[in-house]
Amino acid sequence: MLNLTLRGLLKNKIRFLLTSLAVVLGVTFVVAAFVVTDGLRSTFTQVSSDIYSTQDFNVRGTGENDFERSPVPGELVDQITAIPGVTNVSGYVEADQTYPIDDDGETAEPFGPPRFGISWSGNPIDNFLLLEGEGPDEPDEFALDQNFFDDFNFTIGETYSVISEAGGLEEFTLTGTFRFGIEEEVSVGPVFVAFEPETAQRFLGLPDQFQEIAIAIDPSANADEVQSQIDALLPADAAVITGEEAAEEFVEGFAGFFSAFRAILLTFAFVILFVSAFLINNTFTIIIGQRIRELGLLRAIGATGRQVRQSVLIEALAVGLVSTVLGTIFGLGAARVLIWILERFGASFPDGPLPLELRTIIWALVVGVVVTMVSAYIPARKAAKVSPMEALSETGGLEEARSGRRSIIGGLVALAGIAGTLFGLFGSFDEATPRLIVLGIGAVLSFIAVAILSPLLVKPVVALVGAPISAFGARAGKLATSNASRSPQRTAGTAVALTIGLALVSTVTIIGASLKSTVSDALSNTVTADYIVTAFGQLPEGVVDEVAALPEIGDLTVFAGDDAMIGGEEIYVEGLDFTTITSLINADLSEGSYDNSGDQTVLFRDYAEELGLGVGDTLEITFPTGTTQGFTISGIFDDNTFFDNVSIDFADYQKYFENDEVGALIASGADGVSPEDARAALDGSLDLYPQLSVQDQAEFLAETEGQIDQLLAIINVFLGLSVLIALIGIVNTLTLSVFERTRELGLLRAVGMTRRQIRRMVRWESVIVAVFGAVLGIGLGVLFGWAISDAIPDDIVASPTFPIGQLIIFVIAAVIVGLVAAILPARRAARLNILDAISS
Amino acid sequence: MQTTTTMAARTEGASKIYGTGDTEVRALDDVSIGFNPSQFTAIMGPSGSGKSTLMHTLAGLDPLTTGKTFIGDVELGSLSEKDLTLLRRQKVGFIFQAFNLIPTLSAIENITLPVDLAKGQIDKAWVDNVVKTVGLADRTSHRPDELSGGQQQRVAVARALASKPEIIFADEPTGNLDSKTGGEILDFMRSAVRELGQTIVMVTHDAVAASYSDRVVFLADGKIVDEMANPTADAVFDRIKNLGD
Ligand SMILES: Nc1ncnc2c1ncn2[C@@H]1O[C@H](COP(=O)(O)OP(=O)(O)OP(=O)(O)O)[C@@H](O)[C@H]1O
Ligand SMILES: [Mg+2]
Repeated sequence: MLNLTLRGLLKNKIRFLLTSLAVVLGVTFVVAAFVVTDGLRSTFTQVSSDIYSTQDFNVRGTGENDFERSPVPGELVDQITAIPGVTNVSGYVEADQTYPIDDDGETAEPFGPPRFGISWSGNPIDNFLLLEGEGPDEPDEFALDQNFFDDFNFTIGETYSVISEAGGLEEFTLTGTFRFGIEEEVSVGPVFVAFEPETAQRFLGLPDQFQEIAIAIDPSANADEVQSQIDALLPADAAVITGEEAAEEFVEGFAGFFSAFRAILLTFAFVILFVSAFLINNTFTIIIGQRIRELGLLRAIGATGRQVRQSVLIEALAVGLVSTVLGTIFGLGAARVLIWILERFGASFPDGPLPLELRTIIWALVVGVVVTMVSAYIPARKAAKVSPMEALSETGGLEEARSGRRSIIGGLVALAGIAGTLFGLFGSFDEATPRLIVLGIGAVLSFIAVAILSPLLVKPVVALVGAPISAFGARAGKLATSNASRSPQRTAGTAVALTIGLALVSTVTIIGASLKSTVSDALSNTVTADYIVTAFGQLPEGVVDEVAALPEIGDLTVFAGDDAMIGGEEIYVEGLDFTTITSLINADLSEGSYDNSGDQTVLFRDYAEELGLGVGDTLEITFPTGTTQGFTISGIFDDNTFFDNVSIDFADYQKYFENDEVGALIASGADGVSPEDARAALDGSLDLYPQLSVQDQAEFLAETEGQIDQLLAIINVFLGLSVLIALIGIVNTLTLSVFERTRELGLLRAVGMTRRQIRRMVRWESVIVAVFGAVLGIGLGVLFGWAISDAIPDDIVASPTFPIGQLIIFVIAAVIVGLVAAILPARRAARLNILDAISS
Repeated sequence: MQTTTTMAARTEGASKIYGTGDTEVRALDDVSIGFNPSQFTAIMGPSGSGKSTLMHTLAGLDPLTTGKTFIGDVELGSLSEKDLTLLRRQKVGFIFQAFNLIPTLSAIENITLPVDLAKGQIDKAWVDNVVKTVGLADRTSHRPDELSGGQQQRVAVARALASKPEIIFADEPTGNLDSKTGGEILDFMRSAVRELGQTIVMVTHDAVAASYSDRVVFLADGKIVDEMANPTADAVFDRIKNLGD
């Protein structure tokens, strides 16, 4: 029996290849996902251990991450140097948002890699390598990372303006270029602007302090003793750790990012596999249908049903194994392609090897073999049930499940799927992960239900889609239409991959469109201000005053915010200018007013209701400084698109938070000033702050939409891969159908069908199958998109928007998929030798 | 001697060789034969004698190795693949032993298929007449799998007649049928020739079937070895025995 199966496999190489293709693609993507993230992580680990390899100890503030760590006193450097056994000590400061302005007056914009200002000690322990010129060792000197020279013009020896968040604008002379790292080509992303240490401390806002101190010791010294001596010197909020620990910490800081990135890639891999599983199932079903006679003969000469089932499963095993091997090999290549795609979308990856770990291979096997076997199981069971008589009869074929049973089973699965999806969307969850898992299960069940039920839709939908094709495509079109509906299960099984792919793509597209229309509605309904000024981080000091002083600018408000405690909970409290806010933002203040007389607050309606408070009541806020203050609720607003739950006047904000850092400001032109003049004045006054972005409403909208579009594009590129699988699925089915209809095709040719008509017939059939899948998929996508838009809070997505134009484009894309898929099968069908065909 | 211009189809020195060297098979060996319009010709001969090959080459389904074949005045060797197809659908009708019909099309759609493919105008009266003649009037909307074998062959005959071809080739059209049903089909074919003026060339192994024809041609080893006009079943049977079938 085994012998027979394997011989059958070798004889039908095309069939074997077609079945494998889908599995290969799925495995390829899983392997690529693992390899890319492993590679990223291992390169990153390598780089960070290289960075810290020069130091034995590292001193820095305690705290979970860079943001929480306070700097250490500068005098520690001398004190540590004095410890016996210590051979090298270097203090280091850095601050992001440090930008030089080049020869052409261009500033290194705050896009692309982060730009860090750093201290240049000249000490090799810091791992900065001088490439050209000299390091900065005077207060008016600086040096630049070589990466600046790719996009900007700088000349060594010239004087340039440099901007930092803390130090504002200052002039420095460029002394040389350098780069970061140990090995020749390693770059970790950020690019650097270096100053002599004391200048760096001053200019970057950390006078007489360091963020890190790197320490090397004599190899013969007692490391533990040195460490405890260092520790004894440190203030309470600082600690000394070894270089290796520092390296691990550095990598750990990105662990969350790595696992999230991997989870995203694996989600896409799962989608692809899921789609592939349907395709494998369909291919096996067709193949077994075609082999029914052979199987029946086997049964007639004494093979048991079990043996027949096993022979099918062995075939599946062989397909799975071969596919796993191929998929793993392709996966290594696909990893490069994946990196290339992600880089096209602006991500940056360090160069490095892409390791194939044992875990990856195990997953590839699980995915390739298990998915294939599971997909082949149902067809295998059907094959085992074939009775010898049935198979040997003239019209032998696999009986399709009766529609009654099909609708009951499909209906039950659909109910479970819908219930899961709705519960995932609207149920209450403490965390996002279980919600996503429930949603995922709901979606998977829904799609399985679609696969079970869709054969019932084939006849009516194909009749509908086929009507214009029959009219337009004449006899070839009519034949194509009846071919598409002659085996509903096959047509539906072929289309289901496209259904799933397009359902996902259109869901995402609908949510994206809804997101965009919500933003644009919110802007036009809520924001009356003309300009929005934002920065990456806080606005530089003085900016607000400068803008406020411009005669061309009228009303203005800042947006500030920080966490405070209300009723034992941490709540984000916003600081706004209550005097001007009404003329800039309309947040539907349905009760009360913005009262700027002090110790007044406005609340979002839902939050006020949650607290059970109304206008006139008092809200107690405890600030990080420890002060607790009662605020009178002066107003309640209904539109929280731009405001958080709790807002207070900026004067109070400064007073209680003891902090006047501002995240953004919005402003309008003064009365009687033209928009051009107001804009020119604003741009002119903010010219020195390249890190700021000044946008009017239209620009803000365009940027936001651009960001959403970019995200959609990335997601759809990956989901689009499932459409590619769908295409392969159509090629599979058509090839098998052409093979199966050989005699019929021969007859058609004999009675006068031209090759061209044959090709057209196959092509139309392919288009009908594709459009069937697309119509179903887009229909589902509309349902999902609508449900999800509804589930998302209104301040993010107010109401679903259906981008009809795009959905139509998807149908057109499906037609193209159909046409492309038909190319080879159509050619095969047209080339059939008539005599062989009719005598077969 | 017949004048070539009146022939519905003919061959001149037709030879067909399959394979090369040791495996070479001379399926047709210098065959020259003509088929008169409105004549019913039966081709007989032992298995492997080249009957099907002769028909296929005459119909332009298979090219000759040497020699010429004509449908009417058109020499097939000079036609492109596409022109051959167009010629088949306009001038040639086919009836095979089995699997004559497209399973997804109804009986009437199968009948009009060649005309449809040519996007030609269906001569409704003619088709109705044909359908009625072959006795299918109440079966036209049925699918092939809803028809008996005999009914399926009748549909095939109707299809061959529907496009009013210059010649119809039938390869053992009754080979799969019982003698009564086969007889009915042969009756139709004969009346198509007598009453409608069709030209039919039919391959058969059956002396009774051959007796429906106007002329029997005997093939052996790719050569024409004998001919008989106005055959009777007994005469044909005797001749076959003599040929050592
Ligand atoms: N495609 C082919 N390749 C090789 N040889 C062929 C091919 N087709 C036919 N032959 C050979 O040519 C010879 C004539 O075959 P043909 O089919 O014409 O015989 P036939 O008279 O129709 O036989 P039957 O009564 O069995 O149908 C046979 O020897 C056959 O084996
Ligand atoms: Mg034959």
